[in-house]
Amino acid sequence: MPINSSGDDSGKAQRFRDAALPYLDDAYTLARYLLRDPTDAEDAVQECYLRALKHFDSYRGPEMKPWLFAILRNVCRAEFARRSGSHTAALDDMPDDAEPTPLWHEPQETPETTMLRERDASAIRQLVASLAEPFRETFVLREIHNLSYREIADIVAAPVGTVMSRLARARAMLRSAWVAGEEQQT
Amino acid sequence: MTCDEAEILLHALIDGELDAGHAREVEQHVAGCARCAAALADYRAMSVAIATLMAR
Repeated sequence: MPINSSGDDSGKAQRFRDAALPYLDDAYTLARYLLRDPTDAEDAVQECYLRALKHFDSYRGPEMKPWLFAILRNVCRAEFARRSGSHTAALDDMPDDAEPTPLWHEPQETPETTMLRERDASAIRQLVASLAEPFRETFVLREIHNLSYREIADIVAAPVGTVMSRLARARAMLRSAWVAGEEQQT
Repeated sequence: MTCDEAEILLHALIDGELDAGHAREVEQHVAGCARCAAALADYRAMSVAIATLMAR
């Protein structure tokens, strides 16, 4: 499928940039959660945007973000499949034009309050990471990306009822772990 | 409304996905059920914690 087949490529590229680039950080955040690896997440986002550009002609809306996320999800699934084979370390290069919003800041600030918050952040990250994939995915789309149930259902290709029950399960599991963690601390 | 029903709908309430009628039903159940009220409070606290984390 040739990418350069249409006459208005620069116009298409510009329209694509305007429509899709605002969601770059969001896409990275989602990939980071799904893949649990920063380098793989960057690769997945890049692949997602390449695919999105390729299929931009067939994009009919209504919303760009869920459409991008659906593509990203497929890319991440392919990455899961690849991982079940072998995992090769990729170059640890960061995009130099933009600092991607880090999900979890490394502790750099010094006050004790910050340390406490970092511990909370790390605890929450571990809790979310420990969820099984369909639950983690639904939870992240809702809690981190604030997507509606309808949008999540479209992305994961499941009925809204399934989204609701996955979200309920995810939150119930997190709650148990959360409560257990708080009891350990006291 | 039973606890089983409320268990799912609590989340829709938190996420603003319920219409006014259903929201009222869930709220009425929670008002009379300590277990579901505790769950709702925990879920709200978790959402706030995660939102705060993300806003940093």
